[in-house]
Amino acid sequence: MVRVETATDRRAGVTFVTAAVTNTRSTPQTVRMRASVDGPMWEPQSGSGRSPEWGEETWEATVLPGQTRGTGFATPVEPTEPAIELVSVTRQEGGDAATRQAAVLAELDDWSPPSEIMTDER
Amino acid sequence: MIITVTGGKGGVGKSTTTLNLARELDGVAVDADLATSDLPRGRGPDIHDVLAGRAAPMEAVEWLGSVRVLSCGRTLEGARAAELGELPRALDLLDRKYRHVIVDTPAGLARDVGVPVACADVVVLVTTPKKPALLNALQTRELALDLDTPVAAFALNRVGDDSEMPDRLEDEFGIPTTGIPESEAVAAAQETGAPVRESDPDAEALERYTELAHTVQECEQRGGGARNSIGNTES
Repeated sequence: MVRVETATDRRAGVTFVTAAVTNTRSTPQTVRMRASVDGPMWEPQSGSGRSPEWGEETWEATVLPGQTRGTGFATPVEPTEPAIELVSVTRQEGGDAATRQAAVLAELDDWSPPSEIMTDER
Repeated sequence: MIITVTGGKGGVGKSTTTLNLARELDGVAVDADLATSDLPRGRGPDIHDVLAGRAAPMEAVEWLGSVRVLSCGRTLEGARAAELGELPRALDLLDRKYRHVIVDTPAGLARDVGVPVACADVVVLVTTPKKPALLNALQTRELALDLDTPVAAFALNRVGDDSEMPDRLEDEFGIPTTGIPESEAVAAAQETGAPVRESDPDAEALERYTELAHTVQECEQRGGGARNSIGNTES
């Protein structure tokens, strides 16, 4: 199963909502959670954009077997109960890291040596 | 530990960084820039031979000055015969013998970059403060994340002495950043193919390379790096 522990903390007019998602199953699980706040939501930023796990009020990520992932957001308004809740848990298709990597690599341009820049030193 | 030095843009100092990191970490520098290599060339078998199955990786490692190098041949036939799919296995074998395997990569974001990024424990991103170089480095970072390989550090070459850029990069991306100012020492190292520790041991650049090496080692101590075995089963 997938276990979710949440906590909220209100400090200096800002509510911090955190959640820890633990996958106790033996297969990778795609976990989707929804935030419900009545006001602006500040998701974590990665670089100059929203962190990739966050969409409109939803967080989706893959949690590997035995792994715990944390997430959270901040909001200026009082939290509603629950501030973040589990929407769905599905087994990740297309499996393990090696398979996913092979898929990423397959999408890259093929490699071939350009003929014009080789020099002959041998 | 396999450390892949990459960055997307050509001419930003990947090979110089590789050579100096290999010296500071007492590892082996692997020239995986199969067609446009920049690391010094050895005399024996090279990585083309290794990837064509004509030599074992260990046989092809030789001391060039104070650095162990698995160098790259310069011929088109050699590059054509090299099987990129063999690279993960070769790096894995080297990793069993040497504590640090530092891999130099070509420019671009094709599969000849993807494969060494995929089979590394960590990636070191090399860039200059110029916008095109930074954008390329960030694209490479995305690729590393897609391939589940963590980024250990940014090496920011040719940065001004009092530039705030290293701090800004660190704040923005949470990646430790070492700024390496443009200097005669680095230029000389590049020219002669000798690491700064040999060519100019009093240079400030040496301190920076030492710092970069420490950052990588810290990653190692934290157990950083999701090692995987991509391509190991390919023939």
